[in-house]
Amino acid sequence: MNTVKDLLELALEDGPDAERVVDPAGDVARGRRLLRQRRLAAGGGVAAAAAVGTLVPVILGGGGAPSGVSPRPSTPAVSTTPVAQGHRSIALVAFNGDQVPGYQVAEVPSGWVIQGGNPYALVIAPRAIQIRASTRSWESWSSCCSLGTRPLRPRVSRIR
Amino acid sequence: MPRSPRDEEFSAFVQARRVELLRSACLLTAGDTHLAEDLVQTALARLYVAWPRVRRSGKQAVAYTWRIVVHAHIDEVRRPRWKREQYVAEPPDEVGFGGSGLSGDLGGFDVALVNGAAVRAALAELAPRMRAAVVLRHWLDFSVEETADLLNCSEGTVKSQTAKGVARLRELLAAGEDEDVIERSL
Repeated sequence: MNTVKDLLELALEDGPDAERVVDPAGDVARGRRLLRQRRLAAGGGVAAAAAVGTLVPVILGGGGAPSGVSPRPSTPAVSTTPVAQGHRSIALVAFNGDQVPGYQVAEVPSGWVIQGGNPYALVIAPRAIQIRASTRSWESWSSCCSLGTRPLRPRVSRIR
Repeated sequence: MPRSPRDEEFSAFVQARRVELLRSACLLTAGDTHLAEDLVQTALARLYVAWPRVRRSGKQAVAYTWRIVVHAHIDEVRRPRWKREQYVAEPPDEVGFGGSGLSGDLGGFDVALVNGAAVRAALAELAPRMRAAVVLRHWLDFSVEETADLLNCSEGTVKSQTAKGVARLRELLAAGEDEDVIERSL
């Protein structure tokens, strides 16, 4: 008996179901998106090279600047109009509800509550959004609004 | 959207291999299913891009996917955010030895006292490359040569990392069992 393999099998006792039916649509969509990005990036590189090829003769052409081009480096225009930042402040309130074992949450955004957690992730969501108990399994959490973290090595800004 | 031959072939590959990839990735991440899902999604997206190149043989596609998963995992755990520590007054009691488990012996401890959480905790103690070597060799049954190729290291390194990894697992599980026996006797 390969006991190492059996041990590793045991480590997966609560993990993904080996008999699960897979829908490949999500992976195909992510693949297509990445392929599109790569092609755009490649196209952008060609366009940038073409632009450099056009500009270099203009800049190095000598005999003065071509008409319409300032001979001195222009300073970038500085807008004096305040830029709207679009930031909204989020009010944090003290959290008095039930804590998930392994975590100690002191404050949450106003109107948000802890809806579940496990050693790898803590789900905090608006009270109006009730994440069903059945979706609190590991399989569905990736599609929920969860803040992934670890009890001893927290991962931050991991919004799913 | 019409499905291209690439989509058809890739979908068939995903349907056949995704669960196996995800389960194995869970071992690489020592039970972190979210990170495992991220790794598999990343690997499959890159595989889709490279599909015309790697589709010639199913085995080549699997090896290519594993290469991405393993290296993405090693890159992920090297990021500084993983090194942050959170100080707590009392460490959470994560490891539990006492559930139903395997019967048999793994040199130095009774595996009947080991449960999945204990094994995941022990796996988490291994360095990422060492864990990858153990998983590739003992779970996925890759040869030493294939594992060395996937990990970009020598065959000697694979052998030593695998042996040290298994020995460390034994040590950690045996230590956990001793703690459990002491705890139960108090």
